Amino acid sequence: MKYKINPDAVYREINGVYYVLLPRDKTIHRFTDVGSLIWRLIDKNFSESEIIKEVVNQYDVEEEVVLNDLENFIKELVEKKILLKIE
Amino acid sequence: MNDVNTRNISLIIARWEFLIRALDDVSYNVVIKLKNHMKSARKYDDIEKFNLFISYNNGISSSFFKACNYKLSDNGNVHKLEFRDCVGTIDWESKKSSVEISNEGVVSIDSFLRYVTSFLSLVQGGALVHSAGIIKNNRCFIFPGPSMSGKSTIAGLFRQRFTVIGEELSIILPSKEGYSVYGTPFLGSSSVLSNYGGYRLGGIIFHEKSDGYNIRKIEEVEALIRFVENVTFYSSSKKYANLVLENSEKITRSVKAFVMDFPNNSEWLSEFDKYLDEMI
Repeated sequence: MKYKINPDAVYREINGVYYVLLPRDKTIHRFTDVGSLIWRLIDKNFSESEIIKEVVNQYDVEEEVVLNDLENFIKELVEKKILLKIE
Repeated sequence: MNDVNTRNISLIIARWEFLIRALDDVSYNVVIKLKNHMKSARKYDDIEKFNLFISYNNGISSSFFKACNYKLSDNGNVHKLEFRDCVGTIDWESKKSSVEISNEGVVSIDSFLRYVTSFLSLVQGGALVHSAGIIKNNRCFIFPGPSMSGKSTIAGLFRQRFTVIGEELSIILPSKEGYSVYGTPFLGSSSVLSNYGGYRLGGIIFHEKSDGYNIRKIEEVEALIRFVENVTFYSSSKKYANLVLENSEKITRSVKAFVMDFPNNSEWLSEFDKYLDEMI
């Protein structure tokens, strides 16, 4: 499954923390530090494996844990329409 | 249209005119008209003749209107907005406009004015924010919050101690000193007349009803997120969403922001007053 950032989403970064505004829904979402890192990598079109590798390097955690967290994070972003499935 | 609506329309229009004069930026003229079948009612006569002034500094894009949930007819510089019970026409070149109310128009005239106010606030670098506001030492402290969050309660509690600038919506605009806060014609639940102000923004205080009083400073991102949640904007376009974020960032960065727990009594007001003194 591939995803893309909702083209309507407006996002910015303050002190390393990303937040996203969906103007159609009038909702705003803030990411955690790890979420902000993952968002930055998604924005740069990193693949899932590249994202996992980067998070493992930066946070010194097990790859399995990262994979699980990443899946949950992406699921949440899709539910909130911040990410869209493209295939 | 019932008496309550009639009273509200008169109040909204009167407040609006007062506000725009207070902003000292009169360059736009809106005429409120009622349809023929309503002219017989004497109480509407004054409204029919009323001129409404709206400040307007910047260019406007028709895409903004198209992005909103209103039917729009675009004829060059003239935009016609059709609401459920009112039609608004805006000629951006001649700076003339009219709003025609058909029935139960208080909903639409209020929507029309909120719509224009929201847009004008954004393009001028500010925001229309759901908030109450109080004045202390010539500075305005705003209390942003959605409906039922306690804005009217706070305004009511503070009214004997401070000047209350409004309890429903405030306009925040850039000024030489940073940002200035203005009350608006839009009514809160207690329908108390606003002071239109133009006071320097002193601080932003988010609030939560509680059994006890407590106040704490919050970091920039939390302040921004909470603030944006209370900015009124009607467009779903990215352009205006970006304006919301840009302006909100600058506004929240310009002053300190806090979260306050408060009970529905006056016992904590002295402590809060002292806290404001320290903040200033």
